[in-house]
Amino acid sequence: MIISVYLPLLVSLLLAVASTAASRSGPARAGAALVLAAATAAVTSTWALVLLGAALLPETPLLSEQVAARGGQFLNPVPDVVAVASVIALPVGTIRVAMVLRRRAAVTRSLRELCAVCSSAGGQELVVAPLSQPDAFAVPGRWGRPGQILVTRGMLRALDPVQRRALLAHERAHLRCRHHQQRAVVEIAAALNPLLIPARDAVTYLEERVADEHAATAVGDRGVAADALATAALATDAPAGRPGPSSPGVLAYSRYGVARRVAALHAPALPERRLPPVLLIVLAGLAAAAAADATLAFTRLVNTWLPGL
Amino acid sequence: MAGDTGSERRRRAPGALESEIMAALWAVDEALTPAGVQQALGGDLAYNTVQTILVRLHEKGLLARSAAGRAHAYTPVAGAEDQAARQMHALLDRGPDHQAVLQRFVTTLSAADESALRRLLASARPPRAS
Repeated sequence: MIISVYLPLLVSLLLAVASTAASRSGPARAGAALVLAAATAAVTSTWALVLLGAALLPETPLLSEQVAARGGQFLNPVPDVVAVASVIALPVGTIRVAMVLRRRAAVTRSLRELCAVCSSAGGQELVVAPLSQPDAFAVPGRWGRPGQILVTRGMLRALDPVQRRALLAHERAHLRCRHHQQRAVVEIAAALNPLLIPARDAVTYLEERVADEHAATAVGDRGVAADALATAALATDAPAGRPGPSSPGVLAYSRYGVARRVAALHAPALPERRLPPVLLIVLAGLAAAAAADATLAFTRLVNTWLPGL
Repeated sequence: MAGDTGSERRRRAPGALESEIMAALWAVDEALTPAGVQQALGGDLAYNTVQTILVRLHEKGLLARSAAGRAHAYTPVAGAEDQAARQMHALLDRGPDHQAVLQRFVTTLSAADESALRRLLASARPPRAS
């Protein structure tokens, strides 16, 4: 337990490094593997915090009398500082998850309301907002229903016919590949464990790359897809209207931003290699095995507290 | 099964074609005849296909139709602009944490990104012939 309980945290740290490497390989497999690894790391590191915090139990009134009555040992292999820190980290993580869920719900509600205001008939794939500022979003459907593509009139006017087809194919790929679900998973993971923030950002970038490659396939030319993206980005940025929020939260995303996606489309397609996803899954397996080992060690510890339980 | 290479962009799902035609009509200011729509799409769809889809979209209430010579001209039926603008503000004025949740086509550019993109667009234009 002394070592294995800390391994999920070490794996989370390694994932931060691996995320950078993963965002340089073929996007589809690396993205899916990174989602799985981040989810495993989040669950196991949270469980590790529970175990570390529980090491304090014999010192609380909850158990101390029981331990004395049964003639158990007040054995605690976890430094008190670590145990207390874990006890504090757990509710903080829970609050952060609640905030992520609330934020996602609010944004999804706003998007669906905007779709409802702009649709003159239900069930259409494309919804156009009669607004001049260029913008485009994928709006996930409710309960497995197909999602919708929300585009402003300004965006449609900024693009030529082939570029419009690339944009539609890009958003369609987000909906078909259920990227919003992957995003929910990594956002919750990063809320539970901030070490997973780089993994979340890498997944966000890889999803955009997957959608960009779908767009390139749809128009049959990676260069055209790159032009569509660059044109849309410049149009979105150019109008004097929106000042664009320049807070650190947005800057963090610019590392995985549009310019890099355009450059990736201009470069030759990256092959979908097997090694990066395999390494990520091995890391996830390591975290899971360590959590299992720590759990066993914890049950042995409970036996020394309360012999004959 | 075999010999599908190259036909990928022709075989688009009906829903996708409807989206493309709506997008083309929204991108212009005037009403378009089927021939006009065909041209606005880049001319790689059959006239009859365009015509059929326009009629279907009109029947769904998505397009308004007016007489234009011997043909019909179509314009998209727009949602309420002020309501849409209000909803869009509600969506975008929440701050960066909320923005990060959105699956948005493009995000805000840094100054360096912007000049890099302008260079890429300028240099990409002439040499691409393939």
